[in-house]
Amino acid sequence: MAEQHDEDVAVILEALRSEVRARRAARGMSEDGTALSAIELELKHAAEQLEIARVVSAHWPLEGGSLYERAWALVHKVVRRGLKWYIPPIVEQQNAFNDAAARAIRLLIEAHAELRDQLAELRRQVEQLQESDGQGPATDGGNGSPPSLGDGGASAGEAAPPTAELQQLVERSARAEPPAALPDLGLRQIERELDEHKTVSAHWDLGGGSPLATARAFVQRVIRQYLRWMINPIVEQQNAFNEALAAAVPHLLAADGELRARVASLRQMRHAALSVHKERQ
Amino acid sequence: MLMITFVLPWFGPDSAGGAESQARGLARALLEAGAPVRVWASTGRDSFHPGEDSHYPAGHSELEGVPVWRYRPSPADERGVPRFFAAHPELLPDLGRFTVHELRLLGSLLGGDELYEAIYRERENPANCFIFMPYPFPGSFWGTLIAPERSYLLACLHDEPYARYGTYAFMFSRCRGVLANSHSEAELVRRLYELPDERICVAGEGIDLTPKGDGAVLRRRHGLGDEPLLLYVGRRDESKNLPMLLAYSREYRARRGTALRLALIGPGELDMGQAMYSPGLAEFAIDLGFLDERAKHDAYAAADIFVQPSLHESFSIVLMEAWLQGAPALVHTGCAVTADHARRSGGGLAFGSFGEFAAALDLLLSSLELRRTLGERGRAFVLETCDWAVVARRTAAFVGAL
Repeated sequence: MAEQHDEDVAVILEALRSEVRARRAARGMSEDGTALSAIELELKHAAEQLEIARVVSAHWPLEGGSLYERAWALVHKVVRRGLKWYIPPIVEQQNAFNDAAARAIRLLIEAHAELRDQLAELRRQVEQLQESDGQGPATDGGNGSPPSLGDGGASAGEAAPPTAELQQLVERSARAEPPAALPDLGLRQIERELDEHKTVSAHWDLGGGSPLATARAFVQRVIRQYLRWMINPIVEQQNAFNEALAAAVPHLLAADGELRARVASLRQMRHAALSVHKERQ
Repeated sequence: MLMITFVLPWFGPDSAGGAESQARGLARALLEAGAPVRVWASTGRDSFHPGEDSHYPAGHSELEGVPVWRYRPSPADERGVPRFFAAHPELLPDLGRFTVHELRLLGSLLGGDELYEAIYRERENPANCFIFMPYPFPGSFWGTLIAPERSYLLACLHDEPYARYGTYAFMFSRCRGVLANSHSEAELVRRLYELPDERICVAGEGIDLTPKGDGAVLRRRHGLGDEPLLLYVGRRDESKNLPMLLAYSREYRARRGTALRLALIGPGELDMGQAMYSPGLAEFAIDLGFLDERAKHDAYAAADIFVQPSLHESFSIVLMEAWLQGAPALVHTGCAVTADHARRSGGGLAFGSFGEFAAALDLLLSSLELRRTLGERGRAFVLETCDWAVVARRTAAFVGAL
């Protein structure tokens, strides 16, 4: 029953993959000549491809046309069912890593898009500043100056209100502050998840409580011992890739952090220039 | 007269860390109050130097008048249980009540059979009591199980996944009493372990109330001019939520254009990956590294705002030190302890989002008078609650030493 369900999932996944591939191809054609850059398109496609390919399944459909093929498919199904205690747990571990890796890349793509937005906004403001030279004051993009704090704050010579009132004032004022995306903070969690899942193991404990379970565990250990010539090299190669990918992410984060710091510095300088410009006018 | 024996992983002139400083201050204050005190610790240096397990010689010594006995660390067995229990199996609880990883965590932390032997020898002594600190270490856990009737936990507890482990819940249920550093910590003990009020005492924590910092000295030494200065003091890593402070400060500065500076002070080298610090931040976030006590107090005095973004504090000595020097504080609403300190003292504001962080900075940076007033409220709170003599009297009274 469970195997049938898994096979259904595999069929559905394959159908989804075909549909997404077709949709992607159609959209790629329709987007020709629009404002989306080639890089953005590629990133979108990469994100979709990740979503399509991140789930590994050990239960693809096993069918046959002729009687001979159907007989072999039946044998394969029996073997697959017999190894259900062994192969799917390995695949599940890899899927946990793939899931974290795909999320890391998607978040990096989003972080990249957010940085591009910041740069575009900065460019727009600089152009506006240049255009407004001698034609009235430039705007500061909506979050350049502190929102009004009303009359709750104390100015020189006035007694400061109780801290509880100041806290309420802060909470009220915070609602007027445009949200900050800060995707770099979310990426830290993903980095930890990658580390946690990067090592897939083919050798977990096969214990048993009852005599029957102990006997079954013994048989499974023997089978695992025999199959290690085949399974272990696959797992080791996959682990080497997982390790390499997990090791690359901190460097990508560092690069993202550095770009973010530089863009923030430009925004700060733009704001300072705007203040000077306003004063001049 | 009852002897108070402090048991903690590290203790010595070179040992850094919040619990270590607290033990030194409290032991000295108790001695001054006339209570006999001694300290039992390992020969290791501190948590910042994990490889230095033989930093201090084993045996007896003295630190600032406090007698100290140091014991060699030794590994636990493969289950995480000290080998000491092989000779005393009757002292072991049913280990089946704990999960494998909980015991293994204890086994991975610093403990030692010599220490457990010493606790065992004193377990029936009515003229002795133990104060174990901080709660997660094997010395506290196994020590409490060996001598429950004479065990008090100076837990330094904060709300974290470990606090919910079955091992620690069992330890809290077995100890005679818990000494809490703050009302919020006491509340957490009640909530997590359902301990009755009479077994919990909010003794508080003391700090040295005498230092007087000179902000101008620090600003001059580091070329900080008169730009608005935020100050962070503590471990420069993720555990103290520093990446969030850096990201929020970066965004605030970019949005407002303020020539804001953020000074970072803490032990060890700044790990850029751990702190999410990148060279591009250096124009406003300055790493001052480890400063001696005098320079640290100068930094508090120089700060326009002291920021404590950490979510896991059981007291926060640095917050009290900053208030002592009159710096208003900004704390995280996600930390019950520091948020409660800010509320009780009136010396600081709390933020739980970038919007609140920005609004609080807008408010505080707009008025020197307001900053001074909040700083004074914080200072008054510290002078009233963080006097070691008062903390020592409360502690001694709770354990029956006075």
